[in-house]
Amino acid sequence: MKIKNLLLVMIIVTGFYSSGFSQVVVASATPIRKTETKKTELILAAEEPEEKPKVTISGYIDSYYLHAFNNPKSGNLMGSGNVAGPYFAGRAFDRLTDQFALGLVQTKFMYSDKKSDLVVDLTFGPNAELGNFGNQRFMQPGGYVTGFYPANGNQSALYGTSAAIKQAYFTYKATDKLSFTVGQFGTHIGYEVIDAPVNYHYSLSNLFNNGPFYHIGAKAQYAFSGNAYLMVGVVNNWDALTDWKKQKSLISQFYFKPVEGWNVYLNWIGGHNDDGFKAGTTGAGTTSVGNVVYPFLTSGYSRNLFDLTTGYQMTPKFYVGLNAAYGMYNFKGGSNLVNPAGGGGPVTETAYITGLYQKLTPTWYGVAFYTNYAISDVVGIGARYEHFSDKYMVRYIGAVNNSLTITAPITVADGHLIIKPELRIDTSAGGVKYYEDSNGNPTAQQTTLGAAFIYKY
Amino acid sequence: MRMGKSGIVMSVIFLLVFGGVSAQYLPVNGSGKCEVAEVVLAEGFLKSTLYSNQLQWFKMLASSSDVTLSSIQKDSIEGRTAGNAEFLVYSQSGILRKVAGAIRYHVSVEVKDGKYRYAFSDFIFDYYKQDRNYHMVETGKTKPLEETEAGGWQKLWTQHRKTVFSLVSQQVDALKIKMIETPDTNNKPTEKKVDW
Repeated sequence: MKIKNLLLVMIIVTGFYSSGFSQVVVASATPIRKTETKKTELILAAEEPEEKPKVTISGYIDSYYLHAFNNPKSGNLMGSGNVAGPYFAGRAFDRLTDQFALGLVQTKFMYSDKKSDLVVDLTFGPNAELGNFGNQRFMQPGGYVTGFYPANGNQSALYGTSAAIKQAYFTYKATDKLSFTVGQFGTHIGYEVIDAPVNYHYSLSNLFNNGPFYHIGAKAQYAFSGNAYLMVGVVNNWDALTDWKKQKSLISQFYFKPVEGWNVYLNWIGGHNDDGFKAGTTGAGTTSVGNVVYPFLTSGYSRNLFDLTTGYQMTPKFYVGLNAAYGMYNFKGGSNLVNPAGGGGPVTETAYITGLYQKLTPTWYGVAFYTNYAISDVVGIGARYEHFSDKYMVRYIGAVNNSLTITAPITVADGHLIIKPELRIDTSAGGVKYYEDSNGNPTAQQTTLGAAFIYKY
Repeated sequence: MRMGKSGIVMSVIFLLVFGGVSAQYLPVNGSGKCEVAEVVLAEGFLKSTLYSNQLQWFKMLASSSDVTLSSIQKDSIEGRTAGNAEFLVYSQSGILRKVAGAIRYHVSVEVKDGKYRYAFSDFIFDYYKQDRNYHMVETGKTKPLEETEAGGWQKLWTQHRKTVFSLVSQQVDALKIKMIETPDTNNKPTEKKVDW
């Protein structure tokens, strides 16, 4: 009796666990008549699988804690500003030391169907405001001219709800190969982006910090194949909600994939008078719009930035990348007289410009090498070495910098939580002491050690 | 029916043994690789009919919105069709659903008079990540489906393996139904009846 019961149990259990994949099966179903088959085929032909519209939400929050071994007296990592003039751009977003700092809160809404996409990418917090630095409502010393007006008596330096918009655009997919995008979108320039989960390193490069963040405009993209596409577009300028001039900037990107795992992006942006920080002086070149004054140089300038971004997954665990950029201003100069903001005028525009930037065609450039190795699914290690030159002080850093960043990301919780311990060593070159020591005096090197905490959903 | 102590112990042992096997979700062949394969008898079906039906099944698979089929090779003499299939797998669900990666595998069907053989093999997970243009792209890193462990993302990995098992099961069921369809010798279209 006992053995019978045992056998019964075994049969039941075996039946419960057996898969349908036995070795030989006799097909016993009644053959289906052709008419039914024909109907089935017709139904299959008529009912092409339909791509249903999708709505998705994603986002992240991040925070960080850093210690700077140069112990800057100011408590921030921006630089002393004493040697490099008014330039304080030692870091992009990770600016605070010896405190827990909130980075950014992102919520991104996306709608997608067969013919169109919509992206509304909202960000809040300190880094959101830094990313939208172009949306200050009025110009203040060292501030940024956005063209936003009219001013009023209650105006303050508040950013307004526009500061929450990192991206807001739609894409119309005219065909499988051609699409059009209009709105505010992240720049195509560069290797790194504002979104912490997308970048390997938490601390952003000088190439990122001295390049554009976003544009407002329209662009078209044509895919020649799965391995190459071309994008062209027209935008207002760099990083500004509104425009202060009629000329627009042109953008372009050519992408190609020479071999599987190797991506190459060739990028360009070019325009005239499109840098809101190149506000000149009052004088002959002044134009008033409403009650806000937008001084600019009468002779104008053009600005072009060329960028190469490439990455290659050499093995499933080892990745290398390169970002190189070269930018130039071309000021016309001239004999028109202007009054320099610091006094000492009037001087000719040529003298004014060469006094600021040493030449009428100041340039800047940078190159960064990236490499990372996935030790396991949980831990990786990566390094970035960057050389950035703004020796003509035409961008934000106003110095020549060499930087080494080492990061060891730890990814857990099914990919939701990324902890990034990071060491960064910045050295200013050319005898310039860009950073700040514990007495507030200039020093040539800044080394930070800390960690970032990123949670994404 | 009463079960003694020994019966309960044996049942528990049985459950533990086969429970471990079922946690694989996908069968594993002698080489330790995930493979779903079977020889199915189809009495009364000629090789030509089975071959035609297998082509129809591949066509169905190719038109599926979930699966991308590539590198299809057809050999009517050998009665064999094979191809590489791929589908995306996701993390989270609902409005939070995002592409986590892709599963690719090799599928082949071979026919003879009165029987056919199918095999789903070489299951590989391709890691995806978001690039600087916010597109989900392959990283080049892969993980074979026979690996049951995934440090730091075990729950998601188990979910992917379950998804593969479910999808492959559906494809096998559809294949078995399709293979035993018979061709109709009457090719005339059905005339519409008109009321008058």
